[in-house]
Amino acid sequence: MRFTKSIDKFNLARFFKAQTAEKAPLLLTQRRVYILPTGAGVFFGGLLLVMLMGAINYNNSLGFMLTFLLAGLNVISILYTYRNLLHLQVSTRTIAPVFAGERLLVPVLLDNGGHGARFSVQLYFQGESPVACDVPANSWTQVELPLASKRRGLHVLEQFTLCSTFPLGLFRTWSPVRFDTTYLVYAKPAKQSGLPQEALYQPKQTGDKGRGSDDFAGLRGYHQGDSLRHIHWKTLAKDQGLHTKQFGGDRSDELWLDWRSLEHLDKEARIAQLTRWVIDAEQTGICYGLWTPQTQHAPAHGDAHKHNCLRTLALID
Amino acid sequence: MNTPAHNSRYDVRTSPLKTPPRKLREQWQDRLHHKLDSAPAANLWLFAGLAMVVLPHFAYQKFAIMVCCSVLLLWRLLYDLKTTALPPRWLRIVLAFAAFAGVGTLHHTIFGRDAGVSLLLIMLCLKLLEMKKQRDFIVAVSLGYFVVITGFLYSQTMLIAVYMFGTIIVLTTALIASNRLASAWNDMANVRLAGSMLVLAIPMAALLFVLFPRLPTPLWGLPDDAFAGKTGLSDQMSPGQISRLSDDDAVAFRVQFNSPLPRPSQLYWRGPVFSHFDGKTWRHDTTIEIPDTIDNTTADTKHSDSGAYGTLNKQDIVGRDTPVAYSVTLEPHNQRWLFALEMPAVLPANGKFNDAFELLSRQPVKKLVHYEMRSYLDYDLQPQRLSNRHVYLQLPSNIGIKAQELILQLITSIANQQDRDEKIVAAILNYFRQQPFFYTKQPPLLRDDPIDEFLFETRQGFCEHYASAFTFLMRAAGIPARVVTGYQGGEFNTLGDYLIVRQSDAHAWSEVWIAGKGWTRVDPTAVIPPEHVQYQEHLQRFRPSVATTTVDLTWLASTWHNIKLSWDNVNHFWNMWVIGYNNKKQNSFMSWLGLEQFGWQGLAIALFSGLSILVMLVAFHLLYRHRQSSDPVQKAYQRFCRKLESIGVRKSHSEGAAHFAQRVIRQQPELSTPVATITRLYNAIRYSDHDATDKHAENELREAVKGFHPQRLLTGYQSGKNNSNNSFK
Repeated sequence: MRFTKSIDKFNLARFFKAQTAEKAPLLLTQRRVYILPTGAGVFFGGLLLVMLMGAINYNNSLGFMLTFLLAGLNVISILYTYRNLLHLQVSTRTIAPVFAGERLLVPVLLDNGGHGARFSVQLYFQGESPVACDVPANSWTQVELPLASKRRGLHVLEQFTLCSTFPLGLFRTWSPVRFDTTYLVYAKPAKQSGLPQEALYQPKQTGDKGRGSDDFAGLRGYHQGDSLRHIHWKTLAKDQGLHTKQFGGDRSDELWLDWRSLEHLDKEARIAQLTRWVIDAEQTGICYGLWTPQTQHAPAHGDAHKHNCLRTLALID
Repeated sequence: MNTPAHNSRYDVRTSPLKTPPRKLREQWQDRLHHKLDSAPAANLWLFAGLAMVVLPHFAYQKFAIMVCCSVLLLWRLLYDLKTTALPPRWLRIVLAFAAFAGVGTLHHTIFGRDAGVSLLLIMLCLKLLEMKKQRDFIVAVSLGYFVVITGFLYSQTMLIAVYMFGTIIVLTTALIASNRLASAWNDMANVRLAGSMLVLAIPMAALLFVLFPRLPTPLWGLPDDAFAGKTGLSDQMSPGQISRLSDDDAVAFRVQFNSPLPRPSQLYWRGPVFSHFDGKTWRHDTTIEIPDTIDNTTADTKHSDSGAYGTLNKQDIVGRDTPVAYSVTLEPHNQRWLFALEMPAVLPANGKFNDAFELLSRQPVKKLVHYEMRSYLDYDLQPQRLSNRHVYLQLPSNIGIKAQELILQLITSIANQQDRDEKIVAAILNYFRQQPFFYTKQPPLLRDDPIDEFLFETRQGFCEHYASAFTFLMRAAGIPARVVTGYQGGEFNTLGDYLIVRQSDAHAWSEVWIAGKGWTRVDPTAVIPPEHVQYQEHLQRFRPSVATTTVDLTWLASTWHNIKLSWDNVNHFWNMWVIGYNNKKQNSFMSWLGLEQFGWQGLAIALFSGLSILVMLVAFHLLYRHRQSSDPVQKAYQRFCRKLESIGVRKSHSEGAAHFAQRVIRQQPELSTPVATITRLYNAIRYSDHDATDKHAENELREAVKGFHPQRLLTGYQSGKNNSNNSFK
């Protein structure tokens, strides 16, 4: 009875799939490191059988000795391969967000607490190409695993697998790891189409918006009649549209990127367009604000502001 | 930038004293290093390993095949050194077919041991020319291992075993290097790893070697050439045809005496017996003593103990003393003779007598054979009756006319006397002693009449000449006689307490049948006076003697001799216990262990339990042994970390003790008190101005770690929590 129960409990998937998401860092204990022979290992085993047959038939003592030595080597290599993963400590670092469709690089930290160096440890996400590394004794190594990003939003990191066939390639040891780490995927930006026009610019309350020529105040979209001398050729060269450099006093326009201005588009298209605008606005260097039904970001400038805006867009339900 | 180079060039031109060869050598070294660095390390090691695997086969295989293998191996090496390209696919296929055809032509078959090994060698080397992926690499290394085992079909000496172990290390290193991400060819870490893995494998191999069930018979038939090339005594004897006696120092057999060593003059090891003389060659008489050449098991059923073979008949051999007991370890010689002192009192397990009292094994001796023997040194052989008398009186016509005249004179002079036969024997021995007969290892060839030419013209020869001539003369006198060959004497190895008998101890003597006494041994070579012996060292060849070591030898020579004896002793042990380990030895070993009543089940149980224990020991050594610090504080802290590891929390190297403690407490708040205490103590000792002589803090830390039981604390906490939940319900 107990036996059948344990068969019911036995779950083959456990060997290939981590059951629960866990907190990093994770110590690879013997309960979660598995090992099986590789194809080459099976071939080698067959060859050992043939050698054994030969030794028995010729009653050749050194033949027996060699066969048994290689069989012993085979067994020892199980332990060596197993030890190549055992007691490694795995953790992840913060995963830099990417735009949907781009490739994530997941930084994974392997910490080796002893047992000598680990060689040729391979890590991979299902369907991705593996990354291999060595971890010297009493040291750590960081690798970046490629992972195709899915749709926008906050995702829990998928399971990845550590594996190794070192030293002889006859056995493969592996350990599936799933962390509760999350990563953010920004919405995929829409095609380049220039920033919104003047209508959306709101004059700043303070300062002087003269059209002088003393200080560079930022860029705005090209208007007919703008002097050619003030055209910002760099953005044109980057294929980002025609912009005019604005010079003046300390007062400049603030750009509001507004959800409501895009009523003709559906939700995802709006998000894509706003994402594109945030990128472009950040690049042109003007202050920009973001208005979405749930959240509003006051006009500002800089990486942190850009990230906040993109994050808001990525998380819109 | 270019100026220094210019300068140096001018330097060379202007000062002829500079030594360009040295520079050239350095240049070459640099170039070689560069080439080696650019080649894949694993492939270089594979080349080295396979070259080592192939090398011994030069001694056993056809030279042409070995040349092909070398060329193919070098081709691969040059490819790896980026000097040549690999052959295209069509050429590889052509080469493979050419290999089959070539082996078939050279060996006239592609089956059997030699042809099979040849094919395997060539195919292995061809495999290298298409090796690209990791899978090919593993196949190549595995085949390399396999070729090593075929080498053991030819030789199983200790030196070969040591050499092959080195080969295995190199091949394993190649395999390891191929599994590294990147590795320099001179990275010794790979060699060390291969070495330590193999050393750890040795105990398992030894256990399997001793306990793996050995079969008494082969699984299926062996190829005909399975044991070719082992030599020993010949099955015929043609005195005067060979102009040189070989000095083969190879060991024929070794003997351990269980009773006191016999006198040297008694050490006659009986081998092939020849009764038929055709004027040139002594052979077996086909009617009575041809050894049966059928060597499979059907021979046993066809010839029962009565029949063509004589059994040990009490009437045939009458011992007159207590037999001497000894055991013989016979080297393979591919014939059926078993050697024993004259005359055997028992038959060895697998042995039989034929009518000429040759001791024959049922199968040709193709591997090391060990047998227990007893022999009467003083005996009567067939004293009462002699069947087949005519066989032992046979003489070729037209040969030895003068010899027969000599005998006629002798017979008439002692006719009708008592003990006529004995007197004729004595007279002929006297003739050899008094006439100018010489003993030499390089006698002149005898052309037409090997008897008369030897007796009356050359008068130079070795044991075969004397035994042949003496037997001829006896037959001419009407006394039944035959030639017995075998070995005489031997060298006693005091270090191992056993006697070594070498091929160079081969000897031939005569047996004459005298009514009432039976077959009596006469060694005519022994009567040659010492001054008629060409070299003094040859005295031993025919003087019935055991070479007594270190008598007249100088100090250096005696040391050298002792080294040789020790080496032979080691080889003897190797032969007895490694090469000669078989079904029988295994059984006796099992009974020594007291497991024989369990049969093969006992063997299996011993094998599996032994293997499990070994694997566990190695696993413990590899996986769970922690390198301990000698510093007591560090030790205590490591113990603390290990205890935390047991609940799945491990200190990372990029993390200080305080950081680690914070993390532990965050993850397992219920451990906060002891973790904080221990960390505080540890940091206080480590990083504050701690007085090294103050053991109090150390003890406190040790005690705190000792009393720290995270597992117990956690489960206690959980049950406590449950209890409180219940009480709140």
